[in-house]
Amino acid sequence: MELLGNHKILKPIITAFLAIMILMSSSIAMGADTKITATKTQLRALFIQKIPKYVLWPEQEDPAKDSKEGTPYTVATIDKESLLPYFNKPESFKLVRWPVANCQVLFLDSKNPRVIAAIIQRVKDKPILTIGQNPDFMRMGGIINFVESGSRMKLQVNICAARKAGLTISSKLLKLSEIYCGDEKE
Amino acid sequence: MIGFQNSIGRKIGAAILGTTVSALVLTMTLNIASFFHSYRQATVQKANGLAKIMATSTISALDFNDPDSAKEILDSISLITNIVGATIFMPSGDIFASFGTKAKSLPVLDDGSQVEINTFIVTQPIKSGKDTLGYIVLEGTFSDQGEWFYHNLATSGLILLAVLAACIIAANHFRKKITKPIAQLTAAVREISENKDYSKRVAYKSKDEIGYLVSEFNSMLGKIETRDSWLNSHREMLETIVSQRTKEVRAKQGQLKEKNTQLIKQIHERRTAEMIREEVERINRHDLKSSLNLVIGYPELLLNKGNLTPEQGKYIKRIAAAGYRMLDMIQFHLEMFKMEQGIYTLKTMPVDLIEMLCSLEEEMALLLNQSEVSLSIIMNKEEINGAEEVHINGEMVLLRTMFRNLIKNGVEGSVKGGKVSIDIESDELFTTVSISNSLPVPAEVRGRFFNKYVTAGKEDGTGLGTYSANLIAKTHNASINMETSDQTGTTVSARFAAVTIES
Repeated sequence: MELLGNHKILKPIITAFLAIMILMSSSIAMGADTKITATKTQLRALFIQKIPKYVLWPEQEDPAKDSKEGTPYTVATIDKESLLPYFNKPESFKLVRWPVANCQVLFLDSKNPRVIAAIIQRVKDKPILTIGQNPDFMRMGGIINFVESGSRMKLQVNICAARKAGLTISSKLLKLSEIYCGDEKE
Repeated sequence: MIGFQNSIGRKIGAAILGTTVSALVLTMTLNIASFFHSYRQATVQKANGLAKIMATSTISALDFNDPDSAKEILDSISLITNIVGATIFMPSGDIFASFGTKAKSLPVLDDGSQVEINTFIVTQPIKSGKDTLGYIVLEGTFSDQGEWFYHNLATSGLILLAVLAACIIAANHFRKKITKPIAQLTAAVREISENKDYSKRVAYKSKDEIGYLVSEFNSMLGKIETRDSWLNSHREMLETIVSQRTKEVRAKQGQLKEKNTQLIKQIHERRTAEMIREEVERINRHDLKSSLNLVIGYPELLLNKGNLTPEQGKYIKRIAAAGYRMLDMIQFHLEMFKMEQGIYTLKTMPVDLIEMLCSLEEEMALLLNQSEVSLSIIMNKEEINGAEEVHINGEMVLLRTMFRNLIKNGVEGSVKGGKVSIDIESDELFTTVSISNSLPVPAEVRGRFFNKYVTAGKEDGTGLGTYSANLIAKTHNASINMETSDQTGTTVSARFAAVTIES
């Protein structure tokens, strides 16, 4: 009876408790979301750092043979600033702004297809792994293209372009990717 | 052929089969156990290898966050029948992809594997360079181990049966080969035991132990046969001897029986004669006593009437004394008989030897005068004067008779003018009386001097003097002996227990 009589006191306490619970659950949800969700740029940077493991460069150009001696992969990109926060392994990767004289990986993140096509044309015979995020990237002669598929990011690999550039793509990577030769899907 | 419930053949067969089967079963068990263990180890190692392959194959899927690709790779595990589930965990512990039975959490295993009786779990880290991208967990079962086990068991059982059959055939062959001579030996032993025919031999020759046994057995039979024939001949000889001895014994038994009959007859005759003699003696004593009453009574009447010269009185007294002596002798004859029979009751009292010997000297004065022999009584190397006293325990009449006979013998054994010496020696224990005379005892009676009716060289000798002296001495528990030689003459000594008279 006394407790029922004091319901005026209990009401704000219960309200506060429920509010705290809601805040906690939302914060947990947010934390979980941040844990499993990465930004597209971050994901691209991550992929760019993992792809070289599955690519074999010609012997004279392969930085992997020197990586043990501290020679990192040189990754060139047009928009260096957007990727720079995610390249935090200087002993493995050296992020530089395009144009550059020598690089192993070239990420063409420009939205202008003509620029991308011009750059690809410029480096197509060189052992440079070109990575892009454009629907026409395969047709332009690029080697690996990032394609969004729902919440996930998928890869397209142009094995003809890679062969032309003297690069060998690992079957493990090819297994995860859609394989093209030019703009024709294999 | 006689069968044995536990024959050596069966034992040998059982031993061979038992040992072989035991060895086979043990070997097969150990083999199966070893193979079973190896099989499990190999299964786990295969699973580890598979996990490594899966880990390598799923690196790219993890690198590019492609669970579908990982799942596709894991699906290929379905080809491996004993792997029931595979799960890929991310380093955070979240499941990235799985196949079949999904592991609930990432197990922490020391050596990367956990083996139970029917299941096992292996884990393998998925590494790309130095980075650990995740872990793959494979769960498997030893599902085919039961089938494998039963297959091996069945195969082993079939092998065991085949080997057992071969062993039975081989064991039977060897058993027969080994036990054949033993069976021959057993049959020979049984036949010998039943028929006692030691001429039998076992025909088996070999250089093995059984051959040696048979050879020794045959040799032993030969010895037994020889000994048996010897025993038989000896037994026959013994039987002949026993038969002869039996005949002899029976003959001697007859003789003995006859002698016993004669002896009983003689005893009966002797007893009859003794009874007659006793009766005659009793009658004689009674008649003599009746006559002696006159011999004793009339001298008394004459002496009482007086009017006799001293010499007449002396003669009368001597007649009376002789009558009394004769009465004593008649009486003594009866008592001697009792002493011989051991039924005499001695009425002992202290007897003064000196007084008795002096009285005897007086009594024998006539004999001494007639024989012209002097009597010397010596005590402690000195001639006595009659006042001395030496006591012994005994009966006066008997002792008097004993010494009378001995002194009389001494006087009769002396030459004229000779001397009879009575030597008394007394100490605390014994009193010895020795009576010596000059002549030796005739050689022909020396050995039976104290025997009854032994006499020599005397016209009126009865042969009872020394006999009665010996009898009286024995009745008094005294010892008596005689020493005689041509040089020293004859000495008869009687030794009595000393008596101390309290003043």
